[in-house]
Amino acid sequence: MSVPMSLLALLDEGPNFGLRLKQEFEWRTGGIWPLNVGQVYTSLDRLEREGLVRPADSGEERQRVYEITPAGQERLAAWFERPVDRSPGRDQLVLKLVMAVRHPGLDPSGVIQAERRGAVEVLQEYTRLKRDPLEDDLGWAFLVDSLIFQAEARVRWLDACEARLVKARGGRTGGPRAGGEPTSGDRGAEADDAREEAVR
Amino acid sequence: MTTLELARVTKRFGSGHLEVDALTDVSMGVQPGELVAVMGPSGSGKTTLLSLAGGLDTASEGTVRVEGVDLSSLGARELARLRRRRIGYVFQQLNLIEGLTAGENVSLPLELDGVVTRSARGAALEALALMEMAELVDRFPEELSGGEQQRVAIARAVVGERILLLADEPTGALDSVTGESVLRLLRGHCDRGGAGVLVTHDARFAAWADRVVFLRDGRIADETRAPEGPESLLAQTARR
Amino acid sequence: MSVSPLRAVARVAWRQAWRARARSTLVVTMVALPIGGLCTAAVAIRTAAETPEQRVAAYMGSADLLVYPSKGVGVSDLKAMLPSGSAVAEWRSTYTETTVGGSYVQLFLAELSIPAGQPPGRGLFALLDGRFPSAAGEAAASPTLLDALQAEIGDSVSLQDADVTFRVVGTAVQPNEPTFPHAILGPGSLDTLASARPRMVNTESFLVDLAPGTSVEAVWQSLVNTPELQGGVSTRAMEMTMSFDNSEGATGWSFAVTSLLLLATGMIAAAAFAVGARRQLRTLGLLGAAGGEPRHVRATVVMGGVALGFVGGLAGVALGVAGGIAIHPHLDWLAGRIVGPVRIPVLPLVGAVALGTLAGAFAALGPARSAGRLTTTQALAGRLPTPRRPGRIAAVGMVAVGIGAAITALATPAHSDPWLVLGLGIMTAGFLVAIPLLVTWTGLLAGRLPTVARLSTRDIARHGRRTGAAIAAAVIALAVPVGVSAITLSQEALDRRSPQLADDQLMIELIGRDAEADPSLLAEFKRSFRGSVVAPLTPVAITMTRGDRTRAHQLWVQGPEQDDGQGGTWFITAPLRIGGADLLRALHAERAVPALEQGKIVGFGPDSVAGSSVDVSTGFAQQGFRMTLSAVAADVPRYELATSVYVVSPARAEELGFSAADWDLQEYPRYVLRADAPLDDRADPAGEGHRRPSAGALGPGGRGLPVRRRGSSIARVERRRGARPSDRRRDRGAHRRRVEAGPGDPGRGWW
Repeated sequence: MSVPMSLLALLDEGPNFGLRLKQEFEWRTGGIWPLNVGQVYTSLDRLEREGLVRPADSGEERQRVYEITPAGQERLAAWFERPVDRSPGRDQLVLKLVMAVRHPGLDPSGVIQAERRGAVEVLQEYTRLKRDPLEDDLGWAFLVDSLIFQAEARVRWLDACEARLVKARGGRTGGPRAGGEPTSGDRGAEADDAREEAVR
Repeated sequence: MTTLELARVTKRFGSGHLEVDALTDVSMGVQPGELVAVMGPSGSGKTTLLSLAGGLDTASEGTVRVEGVDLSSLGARELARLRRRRIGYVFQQLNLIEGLTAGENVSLPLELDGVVTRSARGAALEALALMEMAELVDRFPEELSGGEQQRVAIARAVVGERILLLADEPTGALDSVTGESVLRLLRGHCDRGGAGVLVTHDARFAAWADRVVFLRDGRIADETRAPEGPESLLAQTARR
Repeated sequence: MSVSPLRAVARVAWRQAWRARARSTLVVTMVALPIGGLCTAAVAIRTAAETPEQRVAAYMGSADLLVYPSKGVGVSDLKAMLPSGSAVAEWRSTYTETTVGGSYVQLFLAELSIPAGQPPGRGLFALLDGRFPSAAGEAAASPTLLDALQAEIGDSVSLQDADVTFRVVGTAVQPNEPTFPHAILGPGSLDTLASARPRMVNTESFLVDLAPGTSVEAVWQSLVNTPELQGGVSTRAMEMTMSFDNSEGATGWSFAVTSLLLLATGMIAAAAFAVGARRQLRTLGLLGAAGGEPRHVRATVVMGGVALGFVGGLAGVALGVAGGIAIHPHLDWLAGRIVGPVRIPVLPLVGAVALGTLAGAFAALGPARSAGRLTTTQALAGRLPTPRRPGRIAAVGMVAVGIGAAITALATPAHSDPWLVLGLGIMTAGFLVAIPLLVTWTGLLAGRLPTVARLSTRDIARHGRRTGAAIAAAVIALAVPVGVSAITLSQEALDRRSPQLADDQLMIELIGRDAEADPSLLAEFKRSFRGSVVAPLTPVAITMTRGDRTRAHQLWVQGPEQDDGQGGTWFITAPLRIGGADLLRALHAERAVPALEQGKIVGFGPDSVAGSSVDVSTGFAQQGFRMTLSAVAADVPRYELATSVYVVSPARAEELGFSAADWDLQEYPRYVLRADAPLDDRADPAGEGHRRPSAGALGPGGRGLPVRRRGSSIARVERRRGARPSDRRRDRGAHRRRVEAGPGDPGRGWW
């Protein structure tokens, strides 16, 4: 979440003060990531410390107006050019599943299906936003698409997890189970019992 | 009245020790104006469900009703008539008959039903206009892109007064942007009062439905719930 | 199915056919070829068919009236009976034969009392080269005759026996008999012969041209009421109604044969449709998904067949007409007469197109049924069900084979042609239909065969229908030549089985001969056929006086009434003959000699005498004499005589007041010869194309034997120097040389 860099980009468009910057940020991101004012000022302070922004001359002393420095512009250019650092952040869902697999007495496939349902519901919501497209706001379209694609990636990953699960149990993947076909291995039998437990 | 209703439907293939249950005890309903997506891995019975919904196949147990009429009470000819007048199919690809133009493809169900050619063409043109394909009415399928072919296929599935649209992976062969436009058309059909069942394995496209049903091993494993209460915060902030 | 779905389905079918051009071309060709043959035949038949005008022109020329000869009526007599301004031409003929360079030559000589080519004789003869004779001593001869005489235009021919000399001034033929050895003589050429030996010269007819504006009907009416004209009078209109045209029958046969051929080619077309249906599976599935019923699916395939069959039919018609035009130059030779310009029969051609369309539809019927049986889901997935085993229809075919075989077996000894054809037809059709089943049964053999053969046999057996179609096509293709041979051979066998004469007999008829048979002729026969018995079939007459006229009337015998199988009766009427033991011996009836000497009439053959008597009378006109005489039927196995024979002994004849008649009453002198050994059966070279028997013989089976006679008359042929350089080439294709058209010609010119 690079709030400081976003603020820098906004200041590059013209000098501005904290409250306005917050409003502009939220407007541009559709209110998905709301900022509090404190966060804004903390980021501005940091930027000032690094010499990327400086207070602007303003007749009024009530609002503290900032402007971007040449060093700041350089940094901004570099930010736009280079791909962002995508080191994996901690993902709650992933953690949940990792724990569920090893947890005795818990059937991971139930967790998977619940998450899948949730993800699809979310997807439905995002998609509803797309139904009335605002053609001229490309930035908004990018944003909504990112949400959608990420949610979809999640669903796909859940599908893959489930497939692995089924294969590990020795059952057939991708085909209807013929009535009476035995599951092989003790682990399968254990898991089946476990599932019935979970359902009840 | 519920447009499509499946009540405890089971479909069995083969016999004896080769018997396979493609669907087991499936119940679902689609209302007018509703788009329902059916998701599931391959072999989960999605295509079978669609065949049963359109009368191309009969259920081993349970009932399938279209606009209240039990499909098993209809003969082959009446089922065919139903497909001409009320039910339309869209497949993943090769939806169109090569030798006919787009317009002729779309007017085919009406012509088979005995509608005079001129009226059928008129209705076809209307349907194509809804799909924004009216200028390409005299093109042959090989002259159309994949997305355009799907639009024509959808036009044929909704031409006349057909209300139930059954789509089997309609976006499978298309890129995502074209696929999205196809989904918009399906959505549009439902918004106009039609009912649709969309079989897909792509969550992004399933998300365009009002309801998503998860099919696994021939059974309904899960179903998304429509959001109740006030709209989500997200939707609210999105509207300025 | 109402109009709109039919149109939609037809549209799909037509577009699919257009897209699979190679396959469609194959189907079209399979239909077009047999149809093309049919149309060529139809055009040829119609072109070669004799129009009433042509027929009438052949013996009436351009005359208004045809007067048959009556005793005592000559040209001047006739002219007196006609209104003024009428022209009368007498048509006389004679027959003679000669040897030229050791070869036997027959000559039929005709003479018109006016120059040929002028009305009313216009149209009787067609001039090919040179000119018509205009005076006595000139003649135009047919190419056949000139070949036989080894003469050309400008040469002089002198026939001592016939007392006729002529100079060849042109080549001409009778349009209906272009290969006849005929010559048309100038007016008056036969006068010498007619006065010396009147019986040698026959008056064929009188041709009458009436003055323009005269009512033909009125003149005819007046002539018919004239008692002297016993022979009869005829108008053009009357003659035209009697013309005989069997072109419809021939065209019908062509259709039948073509249908058989279409059966074979149709199988190939059906295979093409089956492939097409397989390729179109997705389309048919989409049709079902869009709400099409199986009948729509079937209709799609069938309409493809209809469309291609129609196109094939049209192509066939085009091919056929072109073929008919191409074959036209050779039609003269095929038809045996000069044919007119190409005539195109519209109705058969329309029928041909219909036949082609039907064939296309039928070829597509099988694949259509299979396609209709698929479920939409199967078709969409492109999955074909396993091929069905051949079922009911094939089983019915096997039953049909049995029935057909039974009918054939029963019909053969009964010589019943319609039943025979029916039995063979059912058997063949049943066999063809049952082939897929038979093919499937060969699969049962598969187990015993080595691996490779086993695999292929199993595969063939599994696809019984498909293989069966291929085999059936091959069978049909073979069936045609085999069938033709079988029919020809059976006809020969039939001829052989019921010959008109026994192996060792000859019937001799001396055409154009005098009443007193030339004894040297008979002696020569006896010498050529050693140990033979020769006896004349002398007719019998009774002399009666009526009023102031005394005449000899020939006596006829009426045989027993027989059922004609169609609800009516008929009976033989044959001349009574005087003869003794050697006549009976010659007729293989020695055992009847005692009966003959007892005074009974001897008849020949089991149907000749009913009970123990026959009626003898002076003919159809019951002019007074009728008598019933006791008779006996002689048992003569193995042969039937062409005309029945009834014999009375000379002694008995005298008792009854009968006497031997002059030959000239109704027939030429006839003799029966019985050799002491079977005679050779050789074709008569002079018998080709002639309807009248040669003055020599009818041999076993009715075919002539060559009779070699040693020089009784020699023709002297003198070459004229300085003659006009005339074209020496003589075409058999006479139409190209034709200079003058007769009245029967529609005037559209020649090809």
